[in-house]
Amino acid sequence: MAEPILRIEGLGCQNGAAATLHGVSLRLEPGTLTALIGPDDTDKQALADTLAGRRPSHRGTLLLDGRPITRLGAVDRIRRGLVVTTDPATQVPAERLIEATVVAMAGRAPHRSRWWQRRARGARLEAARELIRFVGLGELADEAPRTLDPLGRARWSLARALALAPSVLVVDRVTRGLDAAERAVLAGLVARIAQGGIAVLWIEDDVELVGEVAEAAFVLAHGRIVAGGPIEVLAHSRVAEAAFLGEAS
Amino acid sequence: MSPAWPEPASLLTLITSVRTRRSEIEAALGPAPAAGVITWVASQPTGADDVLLGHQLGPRIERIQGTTRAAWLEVVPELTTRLQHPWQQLGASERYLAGVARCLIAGGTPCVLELPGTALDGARLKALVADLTARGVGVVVVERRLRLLQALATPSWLLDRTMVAGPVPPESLLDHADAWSLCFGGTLATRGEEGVGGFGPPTTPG
Repeated sequence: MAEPILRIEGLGCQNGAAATLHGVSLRLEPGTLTALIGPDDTDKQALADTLAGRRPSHRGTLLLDGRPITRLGAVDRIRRGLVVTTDPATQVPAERLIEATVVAMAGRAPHRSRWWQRRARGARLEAARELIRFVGLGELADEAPRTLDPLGRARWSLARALALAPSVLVVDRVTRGLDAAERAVLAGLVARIAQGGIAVLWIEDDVELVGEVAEAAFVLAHGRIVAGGPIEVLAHSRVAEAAFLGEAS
Repeated sequence: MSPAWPEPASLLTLITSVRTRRSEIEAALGPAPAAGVITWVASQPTGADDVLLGHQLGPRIERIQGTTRAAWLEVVPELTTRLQHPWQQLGASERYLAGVARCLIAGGTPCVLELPGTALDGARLKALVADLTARGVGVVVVERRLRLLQALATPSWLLDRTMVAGPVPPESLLDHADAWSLCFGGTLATRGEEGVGGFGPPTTPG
């Protein structure tokens, strides 16, 4: 078993006085795709926000590549390599995808940023173009982000996150608003990102979709991880089923 | 046939996807009842409604006085033993029920219970719905947990953004592909004229 790149140990967060996450623990290894599913949006939103540093954690520890990042803010977490996707609906005020990607790449980890800045403009453009091609927007590189359709915006959300050169990528419900065929396309793309060596945590609503591509999944319910493991095992878990179907009494 | 806001003292159950918003539920149910005030009890025990509720309460539940306090305890008997406790110590179910009590005190009907399964089990939800309808309140339960909905023993409508299907009898919920899909985060595959899906004739409550 590979050494985890991200260790989440006993993470808890509160909104006001009430706890929204209780002792969430996960380990992510490089090159793996792990899904985080659950019946309620609030729990998943809380975890995404806490990992991104948009919401403070009140308990627990985050270790990225063995170093604590629990107290770091959102920008510093990105610089260390933990990136959470932004809402695909976010408007990016740019005239061309390629230019916006070059700008996004400059926000990556400092050691990579210096390397990035030393590169000639042509090389930077080519690297950005390669990234845009990877997410399937190659033919639209010279179009404005605002012209993208919903699937395009979801691809572009992944591109913006990948531009920051993450070692851990949290894909936060990027399939919203997409139909089944479009979601399947996104699932394939997320799987390819993991295959490239990045540890991917995919927070997703659609259980069936992640079941197609993830190696393992964890079920978040009532702010706690109530079940987890390989997809084929989880599919027969009574605890996981109860989380989604509820209890009659 | 399509779902509509419930009459006073009756129940409507909706199965929605995680993508379904309040505005879409309102659009699917049509114009609001003229005489009613629609009140929503949010699923999040820490949502804005809840914060507002805590603010209104002040630091301790016992500060609520008179008929308001009596009404609270009538609807939420669980709070009887919690009067000395700070608001912050209430559990998720107590907070949710307190939100229901607030709707009642405000005279809200229909009362929309959003994702009560985040806080209540099937038995408590069933008792709550019975209590509310007995008081003349029209109740809308919005849930995805199919076993929880089965406890309410009423047909459910499926609602995913602008698509509506159903109703599905409670005994068929666990075998219904679209209901199953919504429960596990998927979307409605069934589409049809006037939003009614192609899985059998509508069934009226038994």
